Amino acid sequence: MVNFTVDEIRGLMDKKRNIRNMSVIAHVDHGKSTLTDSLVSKAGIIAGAKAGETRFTDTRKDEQERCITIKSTAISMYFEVEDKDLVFITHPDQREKECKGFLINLIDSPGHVDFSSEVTAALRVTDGALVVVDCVSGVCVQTETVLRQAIAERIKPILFMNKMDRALLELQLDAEELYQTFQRIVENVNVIIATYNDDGGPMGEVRVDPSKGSVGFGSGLHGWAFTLKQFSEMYSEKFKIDVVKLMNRLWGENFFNAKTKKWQKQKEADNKRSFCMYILDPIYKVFDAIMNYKKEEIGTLLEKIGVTLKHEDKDKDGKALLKTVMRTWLPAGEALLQMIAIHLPSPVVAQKYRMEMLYEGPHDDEAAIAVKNCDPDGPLMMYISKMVPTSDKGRFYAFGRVFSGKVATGQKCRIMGPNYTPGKKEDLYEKAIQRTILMMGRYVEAIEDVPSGNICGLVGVDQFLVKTGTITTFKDAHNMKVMKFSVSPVVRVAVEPKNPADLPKLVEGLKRLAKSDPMVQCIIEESGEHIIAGAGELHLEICLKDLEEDHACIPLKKSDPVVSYRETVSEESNQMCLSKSPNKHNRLLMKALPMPDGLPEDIDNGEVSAKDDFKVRARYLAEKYDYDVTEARKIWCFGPDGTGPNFILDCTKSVQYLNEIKDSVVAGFQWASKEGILADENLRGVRFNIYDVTLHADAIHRGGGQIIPTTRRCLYAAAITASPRLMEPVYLCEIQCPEVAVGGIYGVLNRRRGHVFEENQVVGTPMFVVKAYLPVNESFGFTADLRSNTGGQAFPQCVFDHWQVLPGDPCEPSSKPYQIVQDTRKRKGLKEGLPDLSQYLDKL
Amino acid sequence: MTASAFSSQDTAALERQTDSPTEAPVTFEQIWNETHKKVSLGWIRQNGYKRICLQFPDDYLPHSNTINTCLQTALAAEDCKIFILADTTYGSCCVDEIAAAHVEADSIIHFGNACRSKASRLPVLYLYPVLPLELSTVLQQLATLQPECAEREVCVYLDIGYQHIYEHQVAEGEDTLHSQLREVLRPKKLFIEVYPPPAEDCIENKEKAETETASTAERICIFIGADNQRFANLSLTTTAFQWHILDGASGTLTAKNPLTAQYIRRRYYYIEKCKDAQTLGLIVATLSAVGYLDVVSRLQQMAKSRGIKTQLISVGRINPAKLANFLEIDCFVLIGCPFNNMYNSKEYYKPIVSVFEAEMALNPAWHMKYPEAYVTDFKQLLPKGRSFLAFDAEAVQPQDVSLVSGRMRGGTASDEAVDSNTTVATQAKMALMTSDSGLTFEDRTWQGLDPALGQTEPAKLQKGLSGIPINYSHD
Repeated sequence: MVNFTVDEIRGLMDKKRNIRNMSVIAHVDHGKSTLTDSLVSKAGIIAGAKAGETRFTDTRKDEQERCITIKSTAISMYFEVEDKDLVFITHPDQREKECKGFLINLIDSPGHVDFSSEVTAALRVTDGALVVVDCVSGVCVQTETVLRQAIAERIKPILFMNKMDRALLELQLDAEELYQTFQRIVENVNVIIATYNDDGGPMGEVRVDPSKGSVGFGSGLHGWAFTLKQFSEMYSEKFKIDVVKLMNRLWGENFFNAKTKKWQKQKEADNKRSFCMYILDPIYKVFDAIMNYKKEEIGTLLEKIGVTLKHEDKDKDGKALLKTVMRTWLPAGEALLQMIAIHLPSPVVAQKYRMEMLYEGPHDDEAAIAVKNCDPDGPLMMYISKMVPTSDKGRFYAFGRVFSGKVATGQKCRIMGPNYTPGKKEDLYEKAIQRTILMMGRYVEAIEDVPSGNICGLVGVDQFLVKTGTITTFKDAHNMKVMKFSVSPVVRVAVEPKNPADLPKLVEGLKRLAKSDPMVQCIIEESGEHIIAGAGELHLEICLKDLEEDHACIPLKKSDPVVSYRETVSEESNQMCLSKSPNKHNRLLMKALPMPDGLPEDIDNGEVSAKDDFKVRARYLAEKYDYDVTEARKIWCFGPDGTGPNFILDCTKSVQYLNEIKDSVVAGFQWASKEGILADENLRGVRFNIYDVTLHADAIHRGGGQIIPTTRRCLYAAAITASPRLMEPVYLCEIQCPEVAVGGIYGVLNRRRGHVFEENQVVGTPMFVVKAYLPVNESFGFTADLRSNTGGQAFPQCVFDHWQVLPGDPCEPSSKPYQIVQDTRKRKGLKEGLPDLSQYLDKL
Repeated sequence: MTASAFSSQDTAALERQTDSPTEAPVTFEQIWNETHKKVSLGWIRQNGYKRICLQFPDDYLPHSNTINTCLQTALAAEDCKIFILADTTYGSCCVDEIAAAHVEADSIIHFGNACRSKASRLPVLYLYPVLPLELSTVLQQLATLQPECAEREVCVYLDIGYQHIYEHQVAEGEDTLHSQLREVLRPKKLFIEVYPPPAEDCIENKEKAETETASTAERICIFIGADNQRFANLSLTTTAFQWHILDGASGTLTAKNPLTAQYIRRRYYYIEKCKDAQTLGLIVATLSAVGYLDVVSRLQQMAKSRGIKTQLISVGRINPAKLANFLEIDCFVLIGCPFNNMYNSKEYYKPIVSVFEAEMALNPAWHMKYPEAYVTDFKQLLPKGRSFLAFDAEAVQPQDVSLVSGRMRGGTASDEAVDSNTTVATQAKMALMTSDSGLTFEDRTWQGLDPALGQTEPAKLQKGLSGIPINYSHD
């Protein structure tokens, strides 16, 4: 029986200080969905006994079958917080007066690295994050990645140590060891937080601290959890110490001497760590008594901890009894709810410091101020972070967060895609919202309107947005910033219908697939291939399955996964390259040279971009990369697509009419940097210098028709003469395994051109973490290969890390890059062989 | 004629680089023999033409003068004037009525490859080259296909150089070729056709329609000629189980299937590009084909319904430099004769699609339809044409995800009602209409000369350049 009605939720939506928008994030298999069940069951949406097994937020069939979360799922829940706990919420903007009800909008996100785009989309619309860490495996690579992303988005984290049942039952750690493990995880997490957050920044101090109650402990599977607050409440009367003070005593270097009844700061022979003594000992005793069937002890213990068993539970023993006892004693939902309500920010608090990260426009316009104040009476500002498929094939709910104003059924709004620029009409629609809805995991509930600070879904917006967008009623509103993903779609497969006549269906299906996933790219290439690009093999597998079964509904032929390459140069052009225009009256002189290491990455990350002020950019380039300042000021443009990691630079001295041909040169450069000379792949890390230009005196003879094709030829000539190279994408691969398996890992990596650059033992565990770089091209089947070579003990996590030059000259017919170039050209239907310099280079 | 502001120097046409011929050069004997002479003289005399143009493709030009002299001598008594058209406006396959109009010609004799689009103004006589063909080798080669062809429908197409064999036989009333082929291939049914077919012949068309109804997809087609533009055109427009080319010159047989799924998928990329375009350039590259104006207005109508702007351009024979001058055009549609509308070259800055591809992109009736065969002749897309699909502006869904850029397209459509409600009051400028056409130019850095009136010192007058830009006197 659900404990609340939609009306109750709607009522709470107006109480913006009592709202908590949060995501659950963690490494894969650390138990997010299982833990989420505890809250879902507390809200009465699923039965308590089923919590931990249902994984309510895993709504897809394949998610249930594979036991892995693929899509992030949102659910809105209503809770009441008791008065005694309300006093812990001190910030005036963190709760409404006279209101016990809290609305928690929770998003459960996938942990597998291939789906991190889902995490990004979830983080954008929430203000707080529950970071779940398996206390047996500790902080893993994906924990760090998602935590880093959360901090970057100004999302406040709280920590939960999950799988304590495993630590006790399987590893049989003693209390002190367990404390040390916890302590280490807290430290690790705080190190990551400190690395990416500035304590003096607008978010303030965000580190997690068990003694403040922002760290939870427990077992999602068994449905029990606690924070120090729960225990100090139990003991505070006995010790006659204030709850808050006692919480401080229960963590860290605090020891209690039972004989002298004195608190001490150091470990001595006859004292004991307070955390072990007062918290772990009782739990250990309960575990010991129940698991070892000590019948009498159980009775007295239960009395001590104040648990009375229901009649139907009396016959249980062993694990089943343990579960029942623990979840009655320390109900997980309660502990989590308190952590969330007390420590995660309300939209009112969070939007104050998040606005400047979210809004592209001026920070003092109407929209910005409304967002900052989370003002329900201001203009509507809503960010759509992803599309959720509906039961109606091909249609989607647009899922997002209302940052200001109200979104209502039937309301007319401006729908702005990511390419919208104020004042222009591109990517802008004015349409009515058909319906607003509340997302409830696998169900949706219609709702009249939704005020600021809440998360909801919209119907009738999907056809105007590809994946994300901004919805507003303010005419001069700018876009909300687009999300930055931590993974890139580097793995690609080409698909074609088994029956060629199904091609139009495939095209339709690809369009739907493109909408349904925040990261996937569906592209038709000039070669006629229909490409699906994803973050990794698993991501692609899921996308292909969705495409085949849900979106296109036709049998498909799939190519083996392939990677896309980049073209670059390794030296400066060995000669000045001259190209003449078709009418022979214009001449361009250029050279190509590689960019210094790090610059292409800076451009990728937006440190250096086309939007920068040219003087600031020039100074940056001069300081960091020793560029000549006057030259660096004259970057004409970045490419491909105006933003890519290549640029063209004007090194000419007083050339007449030069500014007139700039647009044509830019167009030619965009063209040439998109379709490189070797294999029609994008260019990367190439700087082109224009040294001299001779132009016809008459404007019509130096028009686009003469200059664009000539620029392209000249750029190609410059690239060919600058020792062109191929670049391939490389994964950062983190593998966790026991020591015995490390040897096997090395073997597999060596066979696949991978190299290990770090190997560490996880402190306090027998596990090793091996970090390696692995070319994406060699990663297909890597997981399976690794498992078979390590007896299934090693689990890799691969994230795209960087581009790396493929050793070998692609112009040397015996080299590997040559082979790749030829294969690519063949696949794209281009003429095989090497580019002929004389086609591009002219003589004076 | 010397250079003027409007035309280039005479020498320009002579110096121009022509595409090197892909086929083997023709010999004089192949393009001009006694039969040709007899036919053309008879045609001229019978109709009493006085000003006759001879149109040659580039590779025939070396022989043009001899042919001219030959005709001139033969027609000395009739007071005929004969002209050679050496530089055609679009392609040598089309009858160049424009050039002929310069000399007020009353008839044209067209040599070589012809698309046989219907000429709308002048009478035309087509003269094809006569290429030798060893019938015995042909039959010998075809015999190898017998297992494949047995009990299937077989269609044999004759390229322009080999049609004389068939025509000759048809004229003589005997049909040995038909029976010989039948004997060798043992097909269920055998058709022999010439390609390209004589234009707009109603009877021919009807006959063709009948053969089309048979299951063409199961058919074996044999093209006697070479792997050239004509074969490409024919094989793309005709579905067949398998295509074979019998090279008339070398007598070799090759199997080829150009209308593969791969080919169509590749063209789908350009179709997507065409859908993405905000401005379409309609290049009219024919003036002799009937119906091109209907196609233009049809395309304009379809583009308008999607909010795509169109520009109508005519630039003569197209090349990359000419088209790159139209920076604001995102995709070109080439309205040309069937032999002159496929451009796959990567040299072009923006893609060029055929009328058929534009139709597939813009007409919602084609949205979920997979083309059985390609349509190179745009007439077939007009009402009454074989591949005509009615255009319903209501069915257009302008909002769509582009699979090329991954963006939303058709972004300019908005609820006009909302616009007027909210913006009328705030719109201070008294513009009668707003236009987006300037948007494409907004991104340009070069906005034209800055007049800076009254801010610059008056400069002393200097003597400027003289001559026309292509040849200034100082250059």
